[in-house]
Amino acid sequence: MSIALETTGLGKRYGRQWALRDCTLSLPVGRVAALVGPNGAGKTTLLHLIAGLAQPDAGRVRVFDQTPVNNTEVLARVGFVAQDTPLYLNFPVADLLTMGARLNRRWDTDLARARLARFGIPLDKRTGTLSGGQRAQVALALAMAKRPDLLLLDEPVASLDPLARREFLQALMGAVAEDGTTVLLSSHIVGDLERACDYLIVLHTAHVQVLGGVDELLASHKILVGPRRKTADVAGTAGVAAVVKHSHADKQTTLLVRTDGPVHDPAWTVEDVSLEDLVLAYLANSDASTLPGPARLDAEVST
Amino acid sequence: MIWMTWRQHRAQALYLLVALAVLAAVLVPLGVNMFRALTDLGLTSCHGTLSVDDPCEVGRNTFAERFALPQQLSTLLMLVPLLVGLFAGAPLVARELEQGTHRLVWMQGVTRRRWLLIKIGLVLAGAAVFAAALSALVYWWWTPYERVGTSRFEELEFDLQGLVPVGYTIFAVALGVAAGTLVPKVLPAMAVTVAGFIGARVAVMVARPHFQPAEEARFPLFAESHPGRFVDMWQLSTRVYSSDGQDLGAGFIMCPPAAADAELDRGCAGYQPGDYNLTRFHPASDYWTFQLIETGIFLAAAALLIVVAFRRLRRFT
Amino acid sequence: MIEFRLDAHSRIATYTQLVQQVKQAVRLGRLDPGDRLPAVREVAESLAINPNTVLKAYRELELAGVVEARAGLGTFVRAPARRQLANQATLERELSTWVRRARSAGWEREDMVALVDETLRAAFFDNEREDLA
Repeated sequence: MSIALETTGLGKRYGRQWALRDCTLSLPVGRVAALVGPNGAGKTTLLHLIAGLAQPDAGRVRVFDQTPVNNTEVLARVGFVAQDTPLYLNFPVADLLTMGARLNRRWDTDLARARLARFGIPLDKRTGTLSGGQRAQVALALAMAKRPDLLLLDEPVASLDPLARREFLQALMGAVAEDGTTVLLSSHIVGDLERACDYLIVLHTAHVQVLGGVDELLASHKILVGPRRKTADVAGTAGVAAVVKHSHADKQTTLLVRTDGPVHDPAWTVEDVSLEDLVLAYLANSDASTLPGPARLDAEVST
Repeated sequence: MIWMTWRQHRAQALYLLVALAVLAAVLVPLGVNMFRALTDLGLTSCHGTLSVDDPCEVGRNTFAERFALPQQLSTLLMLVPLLVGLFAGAPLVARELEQGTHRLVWMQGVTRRRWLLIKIGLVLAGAAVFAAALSALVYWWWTPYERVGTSRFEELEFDLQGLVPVGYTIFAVALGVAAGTLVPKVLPAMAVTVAGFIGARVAVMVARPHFQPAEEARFPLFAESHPGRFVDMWQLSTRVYSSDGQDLGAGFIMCPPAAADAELDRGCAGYQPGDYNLTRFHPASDYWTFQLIETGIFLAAAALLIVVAFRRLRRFT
Repeated sequence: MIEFRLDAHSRIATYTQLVQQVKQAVRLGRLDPGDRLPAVREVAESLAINPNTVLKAYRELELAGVVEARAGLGTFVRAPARRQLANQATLERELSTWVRRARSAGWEREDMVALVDETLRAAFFDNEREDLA
């Protein structure tokens, strides 16, 4: 199995503030990965580093086994849709397509036109006069027309209405189905991601907190409901590797735990957890992590 | 990238073309008119002499009066290089950074260096061609004024024609681009460009007289005939001195030889024979040298600013 | 052609929902044997879900014998497999024994078929008479 991108101890600093620190992750080819985290967690910084728009201040990042900065070879295989989907607002859509054709080595004009036609985007209107959802579709079409092997998206749907959001995800999933593109998509709307993504990266205050395939993560986390007791007493229960979230009502304790085996303790009712609940639990608990230590490169690779 | 630069700047190119056409439409007929006036007023053979009883003086005054307004308005042309720098140079990088489109275009398979190189190259070339055309136009149009005595070498006239407008324009554009990499927003970059341009122009204008050592020439006050001052020179100063070197004040005075006739000319009262005019100047033959030096200064500064712009480019994400 | 719907708030995994919907459609006759399931890309796009999820669902349906994938053509609904019969192994053995004994007694194939036919007719005729009575 090959790796689309991997980072080792990656860090970036703006002034004296580290926007991203000690970030180690890898993303297998063909996955649709969600990059989740609160604002300021370093999501945009990470995406810029992967895209080669920024230079690391610590560690390294490799895309298809090459350094992305100033590397036109790798650049040709990577598509990026930046936050707020920047476009030349006074260009009609057709001119943006010409721009792509002139500047890129690999460019599929027909694909771009087909995508735009499918979602009803007129080619002769200036992008400044299009709606937010239409602009997002144009930005996606431009990125997809490069036929990238890796597609990076920075909160592409954050400012879109629900219908535009749905249409964007539809376009994205269609593209992934056709080309098998590896996708890394950052968002803080977890609900959308659950249906689209099969890999999860959670960033919290510039560090990687959760990393892994969605199926494996959902299989290795459970909700335990049982009579009220102290969280510390639970830690020793067979099968419970760590408690991620706990809430105590009058007579009942509900825990979200990471398991390393089946939990047979009859005192507990074991339930499956949704991706959204899992992400929210980790985000609320900055000390929790699915990673036992800094470098887990080999373990993730074997997934 | 060439197509892209053209597409982004084609409106600006059109404006420059229109501006040039408008100025030509104004200056060409005017110039033709002025050349004809020279002939009509009998000034065609008057170029050069400036003496007490100048037969051309009446004609000169008539000409100067008739065409005074265009001469005054032409000073506004000094703004043209700055305007080109403001609207072609400052937004070049600053607008892309401000709107975030650099994150779009830098992901399109072009490196930052190539992107900036082509953009700067083409815009500078266009601006230079425009400036050269305008400069040539003004040079031609100015010729009648020169015939009647306003030297091209003089303070403000020097700035409007010859080579220097090309230097100013290239400098202004480079300054705008560099400003955009220092302050990545269009309006502040424009402000920096204005300040930098004015500062540089004033500084060089102050330094200009010193590009070459000045020459001096003496003309006696009282003489049979006054051979006339040099034409097309750049007069730095002219003062009257007494025969023993005392400074008698500013001015250039020509008086008839006999003291008796001095009563006729009030301006000559109080002066002794032996007094002389001392003119400090740069001769006409130095005109192109000065043009080259000043243009060279601004081109060198432009090159430096372009290097700064490339260096600064790295830090933007 | 079946049109999938997704209940995003359901606890049931997406691929399981797809599997259930196909099975339901087949049971209700909305999908007949030979009908083609929509292409993975179409489903992924219309529902905005990961194509791997669709692949997973189709694979599970294939393992369950509900559909079969024909290379290059798509995924098609299969004719339902024969119903599993109770005590099949035992009855099959008994029948083989009887056929062997009949053969060794000199019976021809047509003789055996005639006897089986008549016995069946009598058995089901008796059943009918019982039902009517």
